[in-house]
Amino acid sequence: MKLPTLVVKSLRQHALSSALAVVSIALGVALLVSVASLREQTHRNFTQEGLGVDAILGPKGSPLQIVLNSLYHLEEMPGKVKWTYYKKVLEAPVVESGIPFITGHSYAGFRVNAIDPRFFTEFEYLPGQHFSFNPGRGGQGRMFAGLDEAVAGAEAARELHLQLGQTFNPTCGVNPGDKVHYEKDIRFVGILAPTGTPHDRAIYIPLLAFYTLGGHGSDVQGMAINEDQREISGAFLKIRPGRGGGQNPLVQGLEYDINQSAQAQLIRPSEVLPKLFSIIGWVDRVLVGIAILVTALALLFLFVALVSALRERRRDLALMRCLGATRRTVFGLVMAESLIISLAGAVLGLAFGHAIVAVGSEFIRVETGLRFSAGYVSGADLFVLPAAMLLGLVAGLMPSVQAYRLGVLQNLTPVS
Amino acid sequence: MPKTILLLAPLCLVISLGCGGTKQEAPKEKGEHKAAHGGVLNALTTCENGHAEVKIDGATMTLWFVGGGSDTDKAVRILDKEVSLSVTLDGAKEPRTLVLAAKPNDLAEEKVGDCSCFEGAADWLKDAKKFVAIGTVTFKGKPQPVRIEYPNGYDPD
Repeated sequence: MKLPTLVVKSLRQHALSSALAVVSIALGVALLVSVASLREQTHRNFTQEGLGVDAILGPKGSPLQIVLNSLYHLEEMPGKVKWTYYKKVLEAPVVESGIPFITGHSYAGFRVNAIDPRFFTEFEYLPGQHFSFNPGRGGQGRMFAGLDEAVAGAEAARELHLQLGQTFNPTCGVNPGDKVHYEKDIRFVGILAPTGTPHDRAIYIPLLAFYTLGGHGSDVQGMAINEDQREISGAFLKIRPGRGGGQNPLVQGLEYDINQSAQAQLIRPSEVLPKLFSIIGWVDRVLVGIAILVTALALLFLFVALVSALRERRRDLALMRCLGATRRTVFGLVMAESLIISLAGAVLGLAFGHAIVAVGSEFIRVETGLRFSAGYVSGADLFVLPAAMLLGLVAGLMPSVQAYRLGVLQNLTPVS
Repeated sequence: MPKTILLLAPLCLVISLGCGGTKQEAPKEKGEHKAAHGGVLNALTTCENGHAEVKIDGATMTLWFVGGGSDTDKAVRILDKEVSLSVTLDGAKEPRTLVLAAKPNDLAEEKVGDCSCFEGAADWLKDAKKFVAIGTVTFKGKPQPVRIEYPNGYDPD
């Protein structure tokens, strides 16, 4: 009988313990693979998202809070920026254009941002990617033109079952119980094509519509016509590219100049977002640690299963030796079993891990608007099979050596 | 068979260690200062007190007064309307005088007499590769000596 046949027969003989070992390894690997995939994709989502924006002009306060509020529709803006100051920043030679916005309103749990209409034509939600109302891409209608018109992001429209022509009244705030602007109905005239970014989870109204919303005081309403009084939450800035299309080194000077002012700061999302990961980095390190621990326990289980199987099969192996099997054959039999169990566990774990990502990504997309792919190949995917081979060999080494050293005569002695 | 296993094990280890590794940035050296404009930082008396950042562009010298310690990206405004420096070029026997005029940062609402940036020009700066400049400024409310060592910077600490 050839070794592969012997291995298959032996695994069948201990089908339950072998299957349990495979499942336990698969669970550990699945946890490791899913954590690594979600971690890498989260990192990629956050850093790429920020890269669509060269810089943000925002009020004084936490730069991370400003980035999360303006790009991810989370948190609240820590203050306001004077319109006159924004116009002064636009005069800087290094600034190509700006898109001012006001945050702080909401509707049915979705943020309502007042924004310049050039947001729909000039803003790059990812490098080189612009918003679209094209029905072929899932969009509908057009951008707003009047002060009583609004555009919804794809996810907001889907969850709220929004239709073109439908009206709504925004809430003055982002917390439950905040006052609703019932004085004026705003009508949806467009739904953006899905972008796979948090912008899908927002509703947009014209910048000037914010000031004219009924319920705002006369001082705010006056900002619609008086530019000297006008305030905004911030502005997305497009920086003129440097030589060869790279980053313009003069942006550092602009950042320094603005940051010395008492009322505003320049934030480069590509610099701020990596700091977020340095803050929360311990969380995914803990998760990876737990996954490694689970995998190690699974391999320990494999080791115990092999050792106990070996004890049960001492007489069988001794018989095999009598029938002509060499020490190497016996060693290879146990080693091959260990290798097959660990590899099967790793392959099953890979598939299971990606299934976890597929299910989890849907929940994450609904909550944050970030899009994750179950097919994403993370670093863990690449090393999990060789690592499983290695650890399978390590787990099987001791039982295999015991099988190799098995004394034929002692183990063929009658038990009773 | 055991020999084969012993050969396979290190191979698998190398493969598993070689894949999926993440690069990490080396931590910044403690006490390292960063020049906000890419110029040369010169301590004002001590590094903790403040710095004068110097940048030469052709015949023009720009001087920014900034904070001490890790605050080298924060401007410190001074009351002087101009800064006079006595500049000794490398190899020269006599110093030259360079007067830098206040150049207020409009975006920070600075003005002459409450300004952190100064600028001056001289033809001989074009060829200046190395020099030492000294002067006095009213920094943090009191007269303090300025010592600029270009291009290496002045760091008494």
